[in-house]
Amino acid sequence: MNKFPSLLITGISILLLLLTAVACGDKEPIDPGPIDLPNDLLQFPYEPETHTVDYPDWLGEMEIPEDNPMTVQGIELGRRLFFDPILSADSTMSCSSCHNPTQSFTDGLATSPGIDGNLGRRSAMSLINIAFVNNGLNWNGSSQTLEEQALEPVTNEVELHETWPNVISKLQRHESYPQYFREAFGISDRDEMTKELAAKAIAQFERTLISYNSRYDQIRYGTGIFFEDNEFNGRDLFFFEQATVFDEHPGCSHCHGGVQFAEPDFFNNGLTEAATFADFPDKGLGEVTNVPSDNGLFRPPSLRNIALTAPYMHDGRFATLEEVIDHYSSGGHPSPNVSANIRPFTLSPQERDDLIAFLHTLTDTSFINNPAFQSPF
Amino acid sequence: MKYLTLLLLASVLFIMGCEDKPDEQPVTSLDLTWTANYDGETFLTFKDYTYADGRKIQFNNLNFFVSDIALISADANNAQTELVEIDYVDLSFDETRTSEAEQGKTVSIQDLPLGEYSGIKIGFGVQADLNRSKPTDYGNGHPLTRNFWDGWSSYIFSMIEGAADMDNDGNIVTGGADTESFTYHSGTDEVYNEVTVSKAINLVDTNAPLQLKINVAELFRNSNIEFDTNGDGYLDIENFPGTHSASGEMTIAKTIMENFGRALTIE
Repeated sequence: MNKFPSLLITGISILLLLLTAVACGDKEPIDPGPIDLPNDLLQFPYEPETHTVDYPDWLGEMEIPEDNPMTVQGIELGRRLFFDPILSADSTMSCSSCHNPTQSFTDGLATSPGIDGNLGRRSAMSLINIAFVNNGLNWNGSSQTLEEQALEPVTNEVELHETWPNVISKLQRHESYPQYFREAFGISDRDEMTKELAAKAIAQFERTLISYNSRYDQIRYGTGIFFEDNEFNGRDLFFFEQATVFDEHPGCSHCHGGVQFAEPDFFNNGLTEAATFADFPDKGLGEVTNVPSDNGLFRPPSLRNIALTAPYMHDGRFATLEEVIDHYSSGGHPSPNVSANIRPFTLSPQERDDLIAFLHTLTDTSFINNPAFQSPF
Repeated sequence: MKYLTLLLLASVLFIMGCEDKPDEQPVTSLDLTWTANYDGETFLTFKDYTYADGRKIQFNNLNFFVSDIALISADANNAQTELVEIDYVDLSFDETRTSEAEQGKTVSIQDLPLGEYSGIKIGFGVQADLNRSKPTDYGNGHPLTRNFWDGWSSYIFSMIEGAADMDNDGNIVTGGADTESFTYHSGTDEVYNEVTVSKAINLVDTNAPLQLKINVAELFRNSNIEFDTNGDGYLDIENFPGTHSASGEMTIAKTIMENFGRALTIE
């Protein structure tokens, strides 16, 4: 067989690609052409710029994996992937479909439908300050890292219902993503585009989703403003330090303490009546640990921006904060491992309003309006 | 001149070469193992035990901090060798994890000097310097990243949670309007409790683990008559079903922390 024509065509193709790159500038996306060209991404620069996450010390230490340092290019790739429905089988849904910035990265639904219209089991959790969660992600702690978690929704049958090989194939053929992967991770050709790199990029973007400018933060961390009386009363109802166990008291901070308003633990908050550990319809943490007494335990979500993330609980059963407080004041439902801190209490209507007023001080609109957190499309 | 330089260099090398190297002291390792029992029976969460006054009691949470654990040398100066600066001990295992409960929590200490020691010092709680810190001062995995009272700027030194048959009807109700739960959360510098236990410990090349055993039943022994309305020597758990270490109930918190010393046996 005479190989001269194919060699000639390949040579001309490479020449044209180089000329295009020079003519259009390095940042311009290109027609990918054949995807099996070796080293065809070397025409794009790999000059990663370190991104230092800006947040106050009082938020604590963010754990950034050594093998996934944050870069401007990695975060931007992650943002694109996060908002791009290319990750779903029918190109109708993205991560942002259930994690919408305007609702503090939730979706306003009790449980979320996937691309096939089937509902998931649990409510979409807010991603606010998700980088500071170190004890297991998701309601049941099933993922240990953001990188690990980012892989799951793509293949989940009631979420994006796609396969990673398909996603990678689509990304390899995309007019821009090969370049973005090159700029973020220094790959040489499209064969090096992997689901692991995609997950790393998404994780980098998620680590930027930091809130520290709520009214509560401004008061607590010193900008010279103070609670209104009703907010202050609500604050005393939220935190239990001044209450003895002989007082009827919400004691919210038992599970929602700390700067993230979420203890790094798992609790049964009395949502479900269960005679035995086997009777919980949703096993929660027990699904992960296979420890019976972990059944029915869930990770307490951060209450930052809680006023924007209705409905509430892992199954979205409560539409309002009033319903949430009424649940807790009732003492919840009996079950073997309900948290001992869930005890009935009585609040006057005014006290309930005060507690809700305090919860509203945790709203950070600068977070949901941050341009860096919005869709690039 | 160059001979002088050469001589100087040779002298320096000679002196350095002849300098006595410090003797390397032989070292060894030691495991500390924490376990819990209820009057001698392996402590398990969600299991019924009998409280001092005869009622049924069960637990769903037992954890505590320990600080400044040190061996005390047997010689005249009683020098202390630090083993652990701070640790978080969670002994909450249900019956499916009985073997883990029996094995307990172990911390291994390396590079300990061989020798004879006369006892061990243990601080129950978070010692004052560390109790000035907060979880956000530490990275993932550090013991002090949890169980912190922001409003009081103190860690919760011990958490003992569960439920008991408060109404003596033979059943324990957990959750709901009629819950019979209890929550004993002890903290603040005031309740920190440092104990020293006399015990001859001879560290040799290979050492058996030091077993630190907590009898949970003893944590409720009450030295203050105010909370012992039954007069049986134990906390009246029905009428005083918890503490947040607030004023008015601080005595309960302090007594529980003191009781960690009484509940401890070392083998």
